[in-house]
Amino acid sequence: MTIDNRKPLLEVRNLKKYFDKSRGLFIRTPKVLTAVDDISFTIYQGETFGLVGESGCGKSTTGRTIVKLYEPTGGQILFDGVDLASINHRDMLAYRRRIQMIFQDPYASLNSRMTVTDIIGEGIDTHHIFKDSDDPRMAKQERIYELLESVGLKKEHASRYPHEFSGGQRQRIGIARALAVDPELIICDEPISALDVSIQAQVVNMLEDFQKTKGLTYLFIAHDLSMVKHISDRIGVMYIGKMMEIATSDDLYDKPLHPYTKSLLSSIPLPDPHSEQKGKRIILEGDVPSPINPKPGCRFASRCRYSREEVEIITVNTLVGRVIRETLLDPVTNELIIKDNKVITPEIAEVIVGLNLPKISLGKQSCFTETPELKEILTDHFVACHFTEEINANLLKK
Amino acid sequence: MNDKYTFISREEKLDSEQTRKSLTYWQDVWRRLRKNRLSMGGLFGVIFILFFGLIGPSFREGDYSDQILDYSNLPPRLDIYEIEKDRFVYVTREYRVLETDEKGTLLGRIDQVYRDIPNRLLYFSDEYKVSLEGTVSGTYDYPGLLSSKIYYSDAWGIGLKDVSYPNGDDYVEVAYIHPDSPLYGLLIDGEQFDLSVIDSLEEVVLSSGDLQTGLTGDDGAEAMMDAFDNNSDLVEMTFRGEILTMDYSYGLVDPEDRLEGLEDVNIELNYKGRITMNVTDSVMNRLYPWGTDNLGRDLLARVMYGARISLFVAAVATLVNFFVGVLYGSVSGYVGGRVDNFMMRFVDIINSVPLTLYVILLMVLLREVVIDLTIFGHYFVLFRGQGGLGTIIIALGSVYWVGMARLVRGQVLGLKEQEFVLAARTIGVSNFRIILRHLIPNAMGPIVVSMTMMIPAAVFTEAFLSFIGLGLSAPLASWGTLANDALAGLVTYPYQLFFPATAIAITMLAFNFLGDGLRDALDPRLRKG
Repeated sequence: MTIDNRKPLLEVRNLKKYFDKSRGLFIRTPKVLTAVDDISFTIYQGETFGLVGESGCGKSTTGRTIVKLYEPTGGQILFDGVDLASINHRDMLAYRRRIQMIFQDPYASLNSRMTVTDIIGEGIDTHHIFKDSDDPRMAKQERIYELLESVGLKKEHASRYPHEFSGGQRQRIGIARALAVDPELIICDEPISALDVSIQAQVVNMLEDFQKTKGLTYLFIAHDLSMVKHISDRIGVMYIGKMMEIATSDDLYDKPLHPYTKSLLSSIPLPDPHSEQKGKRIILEGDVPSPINPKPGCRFASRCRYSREEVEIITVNTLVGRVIRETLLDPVTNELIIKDNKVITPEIAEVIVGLNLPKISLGKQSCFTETPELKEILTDHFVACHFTEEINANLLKK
Repeated sequence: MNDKYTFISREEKLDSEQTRKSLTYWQDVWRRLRKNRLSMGGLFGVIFILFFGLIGPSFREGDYSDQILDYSNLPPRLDIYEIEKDRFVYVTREYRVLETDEKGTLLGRIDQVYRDIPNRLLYFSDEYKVSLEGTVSGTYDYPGLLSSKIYYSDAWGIGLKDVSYPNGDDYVEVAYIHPDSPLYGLLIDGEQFDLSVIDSLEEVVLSSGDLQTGLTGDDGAEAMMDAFDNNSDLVEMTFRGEILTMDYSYGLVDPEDRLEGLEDVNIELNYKGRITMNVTDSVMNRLYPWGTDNLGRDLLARVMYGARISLFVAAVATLVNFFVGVLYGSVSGYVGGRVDNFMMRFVDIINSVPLTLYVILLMVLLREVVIDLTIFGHYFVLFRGQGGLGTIIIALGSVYWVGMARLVRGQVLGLKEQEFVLAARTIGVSNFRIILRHLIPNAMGPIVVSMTMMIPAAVFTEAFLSFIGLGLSAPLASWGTLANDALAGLVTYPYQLFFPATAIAITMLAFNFLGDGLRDALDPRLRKG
């Protein structure tokens, strides 16, 4: 599929999901957990979009908000052109058939009081899929057998209960349940992370097969980077509710532009003892900051080795577009160059550069105060970092 | 190479891959429950009590409410005396003489007995003949009545009064005392007069000098009772032109003496001159295996009937509990947030009102309420506030679901974040179906345990309320009212408390054992998923 003729199936625009964690009946100290904070991405028909990030970064919340298990706080979820965020519960039912989800824990995702037939058949019943058929009951049963066989289980398993299956088999039942309503988009919420490595490959291959035969689109949420690279066409990297980088999977692995992505990729162990990877490993310092009442600025700033409060190399390019939060005076003439909260235009930038200062303070405007926008740096490669060009000077030159 | 291992044929291999019909969740629970002996004992106990209450009463001849006063306060074991060859009597604590057969079957009361209670002498004269139907013929000749004393017994003991005779030996007056009223009537010359029947008690002179004239009927009786109550020494009354003087100066037997006497019951029975002093045999009470209460009602039948009432109350309370509690709790837990907060505060409010207070208020409120219905000329009473049963059920039903609601809410709060519920929501299953098909079945284990634990609690609460007098009213009997009735005679007739109390204890133990076993059998820790 070339870049031009691909058709967006799901467009997430400025999606926000905040959880209110305020405590107290009378005196409420506002506490907002920003699980997903203003993220945008597009998934094209037939592709697999990987979503990676460490635990608690909001990947699963994103997936669950898309199927409206959580009501979004803001933003749009455009599925096939329709904004799912704004339609009501009743109208959503039609779209529930088109978007399905596969869950992480194969032990928790199947109701232990229901037989496999009931579990898989629930979607068929809910959407009255065989209501026009001569014998709906028979058609449903046939369909369930067919689904079971397509996920590598046997007909005889239909009357059994979930506890009689292994983890891998349960996950197959979960996949069969999702497939039962013929969806177009499947959100795979870490579908393999609870499985054995040998089973992981089977399940992933099965998902790939279904994608080919049924033309499915996947949103594949995971934290296993090598598995995501294997299955995904494009990958989004999340960190504490923010999208850090979106690129095609080859691009992302070959040319990670965001410092967070770099450190994430460097953590992939290589099965080669002589590899020099050891030395290249970027070890982040400090803890993941809390997503409750986050400070403004880049979320990664506190752990990023490139983050800073001031701009050292003063070129016109690094200054243009920034917001200055302090009054900047000419050190010689003591004349006002720029006032508070003004965006630096190329003209002003020229003036500042002309001052020949070794470095200028941008005040609080920096990684710690200014949230970087997700910008398309290369074709189909989006990065949210103030200093993308600067950090990746070598990479981008090529 | 050894030949221990050989290849099996393909048929054999396929044979070994048998598929077995899988056990459902409840089959699995039953399998585990069966291994638990204590809870199986509890299960059989529960079944026994159900049969006892439902089928038991049909094996009893009399009804639970039949009163035979002659047979009041009979114990389960009778100490019988053989007064003549093949003629046995049992003497009650109130010195009534009941004829029995050798095996302990009661035949009837022997009425015409002269009792010298302080000396514990009971005389049966040759002259009077007692038929078992209770009719009396012949002349009265009380051997001991040459002295001017009459004796009376009441429910608590024995008193003694002097009576003087106006007209010599041929005229005999006996004050006849009933347990419930100090002075009941007069027995004059073998003829018994109810005081209300005495038409012309012309004059009553109390010892204090008060003269009351023209007393008829109830007024006369009242005057005589006043005489007793005021401890008058001497009462003169004119009856049919004769002057009767009743000398009460002897007074009541000292209560301490009475008690002492009752402790050591050693009766001398004098029948046709033959004196029997020793208990011949101790036999089972054939007619009333568990004895009778103070109104002569069959205690076994009453305990059986009480089982019905107690279990009915418990069953209704538990059912209401199940439906209201489970629905309320699951909605509260599933919807969550502000709704949950409000619903739970409502539960807190209900929970903060003490049950006893609640029942008292309801009883006051519902006392006058009778809901009736006439269909095709047939009259049905759907609800009667007066009897107490409806009130207790309403009280228990409206308060007991609170615990269940809390339990289910807690379960649902945990379950609704489980991925299988999320999966159902992703599919688009309606909230109602999610609650019904996913949440409640998965919370069923704790619900069932809580219900089996709630039945004995409801039985006990009902018994407690009835015991403190807030429950059922006579003639309905629950175990609580039976225990309450028995309390008055606890020292003298302990069996009256023993049987209902044992029934309560067995029921509670049986349900608790069963509940414990169910909890173990349903314990999710034993199996995952």
